[in-house]
Amino acid sequence: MRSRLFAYAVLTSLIVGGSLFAQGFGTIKGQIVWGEDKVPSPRMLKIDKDQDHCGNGLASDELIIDPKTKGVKNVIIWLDSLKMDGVIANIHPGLAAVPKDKVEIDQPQCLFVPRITLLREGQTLLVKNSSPKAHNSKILGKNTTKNPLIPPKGEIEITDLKAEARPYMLGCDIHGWMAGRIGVFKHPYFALSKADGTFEIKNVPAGDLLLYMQHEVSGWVHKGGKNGQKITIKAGGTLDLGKIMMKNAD
Amino acid sequence: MAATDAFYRNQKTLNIIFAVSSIVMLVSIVAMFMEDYNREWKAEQRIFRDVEEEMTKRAVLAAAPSEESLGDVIRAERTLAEAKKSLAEARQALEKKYGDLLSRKLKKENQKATIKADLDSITSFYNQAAEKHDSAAMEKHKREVDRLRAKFDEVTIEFEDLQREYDSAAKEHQIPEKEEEVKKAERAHKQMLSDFDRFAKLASQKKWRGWREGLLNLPFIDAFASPTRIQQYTFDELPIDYSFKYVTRFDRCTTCHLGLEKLGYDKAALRQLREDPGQNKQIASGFKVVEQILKYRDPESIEKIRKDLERKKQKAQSEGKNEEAAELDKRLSDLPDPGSLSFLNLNLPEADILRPRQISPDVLTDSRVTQFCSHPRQDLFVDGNSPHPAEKFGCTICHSGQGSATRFYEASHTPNDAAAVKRWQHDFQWKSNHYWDYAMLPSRFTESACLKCHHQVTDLIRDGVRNEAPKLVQGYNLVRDLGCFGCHEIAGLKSGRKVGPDLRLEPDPPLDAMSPTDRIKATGDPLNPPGTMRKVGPNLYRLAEKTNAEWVRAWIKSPRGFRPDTRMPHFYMQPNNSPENLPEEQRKFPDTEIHAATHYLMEKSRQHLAEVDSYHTLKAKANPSKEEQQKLASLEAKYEVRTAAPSASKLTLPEAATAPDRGRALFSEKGCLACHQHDAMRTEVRTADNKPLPAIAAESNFGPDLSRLALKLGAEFGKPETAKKWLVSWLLNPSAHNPRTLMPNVQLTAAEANEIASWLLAQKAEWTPEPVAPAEAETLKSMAQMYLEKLMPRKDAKRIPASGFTAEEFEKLAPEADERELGIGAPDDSRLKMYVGKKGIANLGCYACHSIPGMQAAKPIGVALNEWGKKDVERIAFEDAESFLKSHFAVVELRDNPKDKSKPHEEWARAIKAGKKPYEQYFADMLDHHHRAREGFLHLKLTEPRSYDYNRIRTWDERLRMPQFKFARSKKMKDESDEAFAAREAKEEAEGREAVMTFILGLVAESIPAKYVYNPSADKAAEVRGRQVLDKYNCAGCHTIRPGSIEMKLPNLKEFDNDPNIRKQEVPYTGDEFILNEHIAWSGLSQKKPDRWSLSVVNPPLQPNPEDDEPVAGKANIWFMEALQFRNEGKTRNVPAGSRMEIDQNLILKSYPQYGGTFMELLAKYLRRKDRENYGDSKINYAYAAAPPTLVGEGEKVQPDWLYQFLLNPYPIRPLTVLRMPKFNMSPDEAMAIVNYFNAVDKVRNPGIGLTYPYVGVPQRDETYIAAKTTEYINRLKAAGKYEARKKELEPFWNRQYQEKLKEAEDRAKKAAESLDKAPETEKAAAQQAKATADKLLADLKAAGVKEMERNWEEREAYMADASRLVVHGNLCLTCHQVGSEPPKEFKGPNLNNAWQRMRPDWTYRWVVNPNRFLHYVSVMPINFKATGAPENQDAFVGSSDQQIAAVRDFLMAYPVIKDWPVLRARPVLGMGPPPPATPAPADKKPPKD
Repeated sequence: MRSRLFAYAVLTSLIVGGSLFAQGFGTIKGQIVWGEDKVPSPRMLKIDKDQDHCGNGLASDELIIDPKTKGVKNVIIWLDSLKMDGVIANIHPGLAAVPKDKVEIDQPQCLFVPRITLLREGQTLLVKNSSPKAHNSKILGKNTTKNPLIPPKGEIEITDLKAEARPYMLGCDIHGWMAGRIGVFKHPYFALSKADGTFEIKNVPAGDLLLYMQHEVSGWVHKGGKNGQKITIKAGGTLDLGKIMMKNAD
Repeated sequence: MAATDAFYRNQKTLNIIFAVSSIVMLVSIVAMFMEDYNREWKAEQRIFRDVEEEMTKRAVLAAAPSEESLGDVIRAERTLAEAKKSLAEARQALEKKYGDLLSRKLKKENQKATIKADLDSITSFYNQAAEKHDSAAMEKHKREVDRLRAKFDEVTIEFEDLQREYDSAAKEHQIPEKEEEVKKAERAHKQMLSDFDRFAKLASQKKWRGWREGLLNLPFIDAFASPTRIQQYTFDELPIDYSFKYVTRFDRCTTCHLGLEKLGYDKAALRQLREDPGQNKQIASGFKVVEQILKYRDPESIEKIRKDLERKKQKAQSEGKNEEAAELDKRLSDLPDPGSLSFLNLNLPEADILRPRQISPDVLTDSRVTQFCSHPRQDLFVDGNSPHPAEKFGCTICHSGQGSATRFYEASHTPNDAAAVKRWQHDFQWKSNHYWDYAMLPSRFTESACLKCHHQVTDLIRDGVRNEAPKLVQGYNLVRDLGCFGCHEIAGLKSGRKVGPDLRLEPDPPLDAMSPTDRIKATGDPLNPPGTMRKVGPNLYRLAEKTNAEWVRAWIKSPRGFRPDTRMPHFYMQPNNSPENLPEEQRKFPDTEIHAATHYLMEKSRQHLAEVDSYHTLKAKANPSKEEQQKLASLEAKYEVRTAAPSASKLTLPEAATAPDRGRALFSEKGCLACHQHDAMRTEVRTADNKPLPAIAAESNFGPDLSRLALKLGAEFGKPETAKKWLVSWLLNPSAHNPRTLMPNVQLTAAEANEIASWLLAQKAEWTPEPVAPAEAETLKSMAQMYLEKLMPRKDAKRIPASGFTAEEFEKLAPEADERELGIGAPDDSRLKMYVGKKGIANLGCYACHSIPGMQAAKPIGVALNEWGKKDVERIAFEDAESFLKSHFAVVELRDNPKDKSKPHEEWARAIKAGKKPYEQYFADMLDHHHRAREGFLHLKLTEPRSYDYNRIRTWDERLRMPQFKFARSKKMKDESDEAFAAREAKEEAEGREAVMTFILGLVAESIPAKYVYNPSADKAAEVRGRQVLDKYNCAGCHTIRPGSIEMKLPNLKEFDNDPNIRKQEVPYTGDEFILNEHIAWSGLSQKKPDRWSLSVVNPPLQPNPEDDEPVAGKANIWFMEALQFRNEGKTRNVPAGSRMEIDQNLILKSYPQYGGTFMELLAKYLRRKDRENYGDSKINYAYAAAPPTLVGEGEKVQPDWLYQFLLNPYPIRPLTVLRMPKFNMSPDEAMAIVNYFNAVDKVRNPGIGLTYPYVGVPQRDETYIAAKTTEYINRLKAAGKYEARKKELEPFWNRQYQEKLKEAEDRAKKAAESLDKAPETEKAAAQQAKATADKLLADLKAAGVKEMERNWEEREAYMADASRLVVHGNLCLTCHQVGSEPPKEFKGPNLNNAWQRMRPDWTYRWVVNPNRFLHYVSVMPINFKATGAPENQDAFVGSSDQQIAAVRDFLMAYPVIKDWPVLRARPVLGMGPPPPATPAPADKKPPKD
């Protein structure tokens, strides 16, 4: 079993009156750290084709641990309503609009860059291929799948990715080792842990919500698996989850 | 006597008599009328009238608009009324201005029509006269015609003038516009209210109205013109067989079952009528709307409303409430003008007539609900559009019973269970009607009637998966799998006519093994074709090398003791042959017989194996002697020897070491579990290097459960390793051991077979064999004596077992006589056993299921079942059934729990808990000596076949012989208690038994007129036949063959339409693929019913994350295998195949599981768990690609002749699969049937693609096609400005080629010149000739130069050359497929060099467009050509994406024709590194032959 430490900050200050919104918003933050003694060294990928371009010494970037802080990069953190329908009511007005800018993924040298991509439903995803080799970018979700071939120097725009309960899997059949995730959400409350494992989601509507944290190698990082971990956001407060331990999956 | 004027009789007396008789007559007439008035059916019809009235009122409510849309409705109504009014006014105005213009026009129009009619009639007289060449009449008529024509022309001109005049007048008054407005308003009105108006009118008609109908329905009067009357169907062509006479069938069932054909009369709706409508909010609010609408149509009430509103308005104004006043003003202006309402002319009833009322539950009882409800399957029966309309088929042909009866009793209704018996006895004083032979079928056996016309049985499975008679099909499958037909004839033929299913054993040897002449002889008689069924048990010719006598004995004694779910029935330890139930002298017989039979089987098997080995030795001999040749010929004549491989002992096992991991992995992956189960596979294990070898929860019982295999095999009991050679040789080629086995050759290597065999034999299992007492010589002798007594004098029979036959006696025995086994002289134990064993086997009919040496010609031992379904009860021997039942069973009232039919009744479970065998009361009653019925006999016969002679004194061989079968294959579930399992198992067993009964009761051999018998179209027939072969070889064990089907209610279209999977039918489509509208994967067929969708779906694929496999609670995951087409907001939408959706579970009305694919799913799950790196996460589709491929759409995919060859001789195609297509023991006819199945299915399923079979045209290999495409392509090159560049690119190649050719020609000319010099005089002329030819060739070549090649490229090669370049483009096909000699980067897809003979051209195109439309998982192959944006790969092939796809297809299809064209190698492969060397190797070392 995983053991995790949770430190709940006691919220003392409440904005009484004077608040612009009756609802109120809070912040959630934390840090995901490697919970095992030994920090694994990156797995070397077996490159069995197109070595002329991909090279031979490619290491997997699925698990990136900061040697100093032991923070884990690329953990996907998102929130959901208690109804588990992906819809969060009372989105902060500043975040309500779906961003117009495109989210890009490139595959310059036989890896997806970035490996993990997060976007809002309705936002355009631009899948590029700046390499001289063709890639097929297989996006595998529960209800939606896409499998286009992207020729060298080509690109493809995807505008109709719907939010799903779990991030999409991303892969390339031509280069079997290429993998990644794409998270699509109906709301702006999602984050990716930084190199030191920290993350922060701001302007979260106050109230009870479900928290999800997922990593490619470890699976669910939060408590409660697919049912999510219930959290309570207080208006104007910050919910600091502290250090969250992550381990290898069995 | 003198005459007197006195009356002969006393007048007073007479008066009294007259008065009395008048009174009596009056009374009797009154009684008669009363009796008539109270006839059962009349009472029912009167009640139904009320029901009907109420149902129509409810329909009015349902059709009424919602409260919210009431405003719209009233507005629409008002608009319509006003439009009509305005039109009428305009017409009036026109009339006013132009006087009688309209009437003059109409008058003229009439006149014109009259003259036209006259003219036509005279013309026809003229024509008649012309036909008879009657010139006088012709002339007369001609005059008349001319006169009329002149008049007609004149009137027409006048009419046209008037019409013009009218038109301009109408235009002046805007009449056309107004007419258009009325039309528009009518449409809008109709959309909202047409149903409502219709039902409202209907409801008023249904009302028991006025005195007239009431009067006619009164007692007495109703005898004359009653509103109630008998309704009947008459069938002259579907008569009842009264044994001596065929009598017209009258079905009067609808006299009482009045709602049978009505839509919406389901039980729930009828039950609702019993509730008080006042209590129902929905009804109350609905009725308020109805009232409102009607009020707005009534001028009087509108006047009232107007006054009321005006009063309120005035009040508001006076109070200064201006807002309110304005609002009221608006409402006032919305009111229709009472004057205009008359234009609506709707003539609707008053609201009160439509007010719903309650029908008392005492009147509308549960029984009446059942009686009045509509047929539950109107889509299949009764309805005029269904396959069985009532007016064609009636009722009794399916249900039986006396159709002409109008009383409950006389109609021979049959209750369905003991509870119904009780209820009916109470409600209807039910008793069974002995005066009608064909009592109505109880609903549990209704399906047996299907068999009368559906002789193939599997034709009852519609669309491949919709099993409409599940019980009958289950029964048929059980009869087929358990081999009932081995003993009981089920022929289905009566004087050459088909009257039922045909399940006869095939001839021995089978047709395939016969010589052509014998085969023609065997199939020559169309009235008596040979049977087709294989024996269901294993062939016992090679028993001795497979197992040992000890195991065989224990097995025969108790097969289920060894393998609980075996199909082999129990012959011993039955009520009539358990030692404790046998008389003293027979007590040792059972075990002795088992010993003897085993001995016989093993001995005969050893002899056979010796023959087989000597046959192979002799065959291998280089120079056989004459005797040897003779012996070889005699052995060759034996089918079983000829087809057999040398005995397993001759096999050399591979030397490589085996490992349990590898054996288990191979057993998991090579497809064994598609047919077998193994307990060891239920738990996961770890390999030596700690990797998981996952469990596979296989539940197939097509083949035997192999868990205890190691206990069974081996020449020595308890030493499974002695079986290794046999098991390996069996795995390598099962049909060498049993030429008719259904186990295929799964194409293992010897090493693989060795691994699997080693693993299987190492699996430990527990088993306590049933002890079999040794056979004593004395018992053997007394048994022999018993058999001999039937043949010879007692004295001899007593002597022979001890002292044996004399040589003389032996000589006299018939050549085939069993007694020959005893031999000459005193028989030893072995010979006695051979004799007793053979007799026992013959007596029990073991050869019905097993091929047994020495028993080829034996006849079936059971009673024929061809007409058993109507067997006379008087001819059935019930014997001791009743008492046996009492002493052996606990009779319980019901089997199923009435609340949940899938669970056993409490009483049933209680009986089992008490250790008793439960027996359903329903069947027990049918054994009662007063109420014996064939169902009762059959039920006990299938439960305890040996019960009927329980405790009777009979000789051993005269006892009943039918063995006891088990029909259910129940498995204990996790978390199920032993007791719960036992109760469920017994229930499932009873259900299986009932299924078999349903089948047998359906065997009535009735000659139904041909037009009623199901006569499928050629495609349907191919489907039915193919399905039988697919079932026979368990193809569905591995492959998904047909998608499942669901019926669902319409979802909220607004929300549904938002799904990203939905294509908004735009052509040309602007998305990532082309839309192929003719194909069902892109564009669905229109739905047959407006209120529901029928979808073709399969199990959604496994998810990248196993956690997500389970659907969300309340949701159902569906994966579309055909597009769904629907309309929303007037626009057509398509959810294409390959889409996945989550829909609300409660929208699903019915779902039919898919046909096949279980193992595919199991294997994918296994691989995902076993090797996450290669099959998990986003690579889950590789797990599917590794499994057996789906065969949905196989017909449109592959060419029929290729599939045929492949089925008979499969070879590896897909590099990604972990297992191989096995080679089945299939006849060419069967292979053809499978090919036809797939083609027929796709032709019907996918009408838009115009599939042809058995032949398919491939135009791409045609020179003219290639030339035409080339011309087109050259033009495209020119238009794109790439023509010159291409030519330039090719010039060096042409030059090189020219130089080569030139050199060749020069050499030839030089050689010819040399040989001319050397030639002797006699050959000079010939040599001269040769030189001239060579010179000319050289000259021609020089003259043509490179131009010739250029021309050839331009006229013939350019298209294919560039197409080839596109195909071998390093970033396209060559990534995964081999093309020509170019190896792919990675072998993932099939070798494309063979595509030309394997794929259909059209399919190839569609597949390249989007492979995901054909699969139920994401294809490993990506979408290579985008439908939008600038086309890519122009350096390889100039053209749009769809032209490129077509080019790829054309290249692949034309491959054998073009593969040797040098030009294909003239240009380097793009994206594959350096260009190939100047002189490339030939394209394909082993080119496929045409």
